[in-house]
Parts: sequence; C-alpha cells; structure tokens
Amino acid sequence: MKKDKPKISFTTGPASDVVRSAPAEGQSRAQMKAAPAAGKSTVMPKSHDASKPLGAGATSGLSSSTPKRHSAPLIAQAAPRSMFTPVLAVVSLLTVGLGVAAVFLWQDDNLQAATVPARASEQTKVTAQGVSEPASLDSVTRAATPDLTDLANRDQTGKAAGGSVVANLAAAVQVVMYPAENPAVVLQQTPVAEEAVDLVAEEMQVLRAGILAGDYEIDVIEQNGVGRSSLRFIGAEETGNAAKAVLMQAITEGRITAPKHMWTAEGPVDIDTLMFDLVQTALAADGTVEGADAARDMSRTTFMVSRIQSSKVDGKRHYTVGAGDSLAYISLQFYGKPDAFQRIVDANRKTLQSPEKIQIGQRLIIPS
Amino acid sequence: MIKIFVMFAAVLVVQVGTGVAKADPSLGQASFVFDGETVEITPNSADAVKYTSRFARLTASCDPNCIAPQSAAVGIETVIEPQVLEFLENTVGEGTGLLVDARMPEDRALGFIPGSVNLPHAAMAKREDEGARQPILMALGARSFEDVYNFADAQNLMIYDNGPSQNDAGELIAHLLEVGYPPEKIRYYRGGMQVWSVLALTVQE
Repeated sequence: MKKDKPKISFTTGPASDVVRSAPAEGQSRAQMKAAPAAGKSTVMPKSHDASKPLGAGATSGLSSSTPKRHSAPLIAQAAPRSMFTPVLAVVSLLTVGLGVAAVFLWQDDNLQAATVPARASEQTKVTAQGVSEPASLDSVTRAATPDLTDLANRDQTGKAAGGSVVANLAAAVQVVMYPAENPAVVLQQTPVAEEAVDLVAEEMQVLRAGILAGDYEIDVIEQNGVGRSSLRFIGAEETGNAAKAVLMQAITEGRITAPKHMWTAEGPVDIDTLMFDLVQTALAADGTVEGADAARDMSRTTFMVSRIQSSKVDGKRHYTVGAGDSLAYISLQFYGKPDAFQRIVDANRKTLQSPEKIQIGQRLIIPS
Repeated sequence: MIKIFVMFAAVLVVQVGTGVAKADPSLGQASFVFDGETVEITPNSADAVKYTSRFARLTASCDPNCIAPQSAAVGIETVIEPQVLEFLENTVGEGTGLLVDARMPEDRALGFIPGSVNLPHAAMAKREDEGARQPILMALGARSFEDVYNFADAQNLMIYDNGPSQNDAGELIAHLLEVGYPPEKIRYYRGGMQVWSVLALTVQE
C-alpha cells in the first residue's frame, strides 16, 4: 500500500511545515523538561499503551461496552416493577462482570505489557547470584523472539537473561562491583541520498554553519500527551523551512526518493528527521574535527532530551508506534541516530517486512 | 435510575475484578507482588526488639554528619513509613519503581525491608572509567548513548539505609543525581531500618 508513496498526493511541503513548526513558536513548547513528578509518572507507561489509537485496545473497549448497553433496557421492559431492582442488579453485575473479564482475558493474550508490568517478572526466578533464568516462556508472543543484537540483556556468560528489573539490577551490581567485559554497542551509519543534498546545497551551507556555531536547539513539544523532539535552527528557521519545502516538493513529484526508513506510518515523509539526517551527515563527512564534533553533539543532545517512552515485556523494550513516527525518528530517539534503524528492523523481522511499513499502534521491539 | 445502577454495578465489579483488597498503609500494612512473589508487610512483628537493638548498635558513619540531614539533596522529597508502604503497594507492585537499600551487602545482611533491592552506594561511586556505572543505570531503566543517558523510562526510586545514623542513602542519591537521574524520580526514606524496626514492621533476612 505504501510502496507507491512517491506518487501519493498529500499536503505539499510548505503547508506541512507550517503545521510542524507552528507549535514551536507557540506557548506549548516544553523546554526540555524532564518527566513529570515521580508519583504521577508511575501511571505513564500504562496510559501510553492505552492511548494506542488504532490498536487492539480500542477494539477491546468496544467489545466490553456493547453487551452492557443492550441487555439492561431489555430486562427493564420484561420484568415487573417489584422484581425490577434485584433482577437488574444481578443481570447488570453479570454482564458488566463478563465484559470486564473479557477485557482482562483479551489483554492477557495480546497486551501483556500494557496491563501488568509486574507480570513479566512472574516468569523469572532469581538465583542467589542474581542472574535470572527464564522460567516459563510458553506464553511468549512474537515479541520474545531471540535477538542476538540484544547485548544489554546478556549476563556475563553471554546467555540471554530474560529478566525482571530486579534480576537485571542485581546482575548489574555484580558486573560493576566485580568488573568483567562489558561489550560496547557500535552503531552503523548509512549515508542519505546525495541527490537530496544537491537540491538544497545553498540552504545546507547556512544550516551547517549554524549547527557548527551551536545555534540550534532540540525542542520537545507536547502532542497528544507525547513529547515529540524536533531540531530547531536558531536564527535560520526560514532557511530550514525552505530546504524542507524544496525536498518535500521533489519527493512529491518523484524527482528524488526518500529512504524507506524516513516514511511515517500515516504516509508523508518525516521531513524533520530527514533534514536532521542530511545536516548531520554533511557535518560528519566534512573531514574536520569541528564538523564531526558538531554531528556528535546533535546526537547526544537529541538523545538526552528525548521523552520517548517504552515498556518492558520479558526483559525486552517495546515501543508503540505513534502518529508522525518514522523508523528513522524512533531510531534517533532511542539510539541517537536516524540511521541506526536497522537494529529495529532486524529485531522485528516477523512483524515488519520493510522499514516503511510501520503502522500506528504497532508494537516494536527496541533492542537495548 | 438504570444508568446509576449500572454504573454502581460497574464500579463494584471493577473493584472486585482488579482483585486484591488494598492493605492500609496507615496501619502499617502492605501487600504487593514483587519479582513474581507476593510480599506481605505487617505491624507488630514478634522480632521487633531483636532488630531494634541490632540496628541501633551499628556505629554512626559520621561522614559528613553523625546524624543524617532532613533532606538528602535539593529537590529530593523525604518520606515517612506510610509513604514507603504505599510506594511498595502501588509503584513497586506495578513495576514502575524500586525500593532501594543503599547499604553495603554486609549491612544489608543484618535485615532489610521486604520487597527492596540492594544497590550499594559504592557501586555507583564515581570512578576513572566513566562507563563503569552504565550497567546499573541501564538496569534501572535508563537508556545510554555514548557517554550520555536518557531517563524517560527510568524507574522511580525510594532510597533508604540503616537510618538517621547513616548516610549511605545520601551518598547513593548524590551519585545518581551526578549522572543526571531526574530528582523527581528519587525519594529519600530517612527513617531506614532503625525507625522501621522500632515500628515493629516486617524485616526480612
């Protein structure tokens, strides 16, 4: 469906730029604020999952409320007044109860992460050394496919530790207090299409200079309860927007093709992340120490202020795709680089055939 | 009428459905699932005197103070026992937080609060190798990239030690803040084992 994207007609460049950048100038900008107060933030992972718009959560809500609505009025007509109250009480208790039970059962099968985080820990046992062994994995979903790139979830013997937070922390304390090898994660880098850079060569000069001078900010803007990050060129907003418009136009007309990981779940190209990637790659490749440092700082800053949230199921990080997400954006938030997306693709082979096929509400494994 | 009734029934069923009647923190009770097992905390422990004298006898660390300050650091809330019990029931029970024992393993071996984890303050101490603390932060839910961390997914922590005569919790909190752990995700239970045992709350060994 989305393979024909270059031909799909959608809002043209300038229009979508206005939409994207308008909140940045308004009052809704959240200045790199950290997560809410500890007490309240405990609810966040749940509500995040529950807000999944097109996912299964919505369906389960429907199935539970439908029976309630029909049965209550029907009974009311059939029963005489005096019997009305007890009969109605029993029946409504039963129907509502079944509805609620259905939701719980349904979630057990499909949404373990969303309902009870503690449940994940039930499947593991902690040994004296604090290294966990997966006890029963018969209830695994697609999510639990063994993942060889998942370095952080391995104990010292290299065995995957499926584990609970408690077991992982105990293992980490062991590793730190009695140091052993701690494998570093190396991120691969792939260049963005050169033709795209040529199209906006002039703008790129200005934007690159701005980044080198440190004139940029990573804004975190609240959208539907989710903090979204975006790069803002201080003093060069117009140049940035002009470059995005030119690129969008070229992509819409099919003159250039955006990489597959730059497509959002809704359809249009994630022009903000594409722009980030173009500027960063140009800096990293300019052969100077300053350029390389500036490129690195872009990653570090974006990573630090990111408010993207995930939940853990069976020791694995899961992220639910939201509106406006591209695989490049998700990769930038979790790994500091738009082009580290291949790790996510590799970890989700069964449910994600191609990077551009991500869907809103889809749950992706994010290898640590 | 029907609507009110159905709503009332729904509320009732939901309460029953979500199971476990909550224990009352103000009565010194807590009941929650921790690491796959149900943990119960009750008042009137028969071993209270044994533990009280054991924790009282530990020499004060006097580093930097012989009596721990009221607040561990700027922006860190100090909590009392009912808050600890509520934190265990709700936050720890939900898997979004950890009750952290900041003492060294030999002190923890004397007894600890059920449902707590041990993160000795020395494990988080600053070292030459900046990356040495990374595995612990990752286990607490932080994400790491090069030498920086992101704490959007990090656990809420409530940190304690032996009690007002010790500063292990203060040390650990200082180390966590130093690496950027958000202060609003950290709370300090100053009473520690000393006050916990005087109140005859359950101690585990």
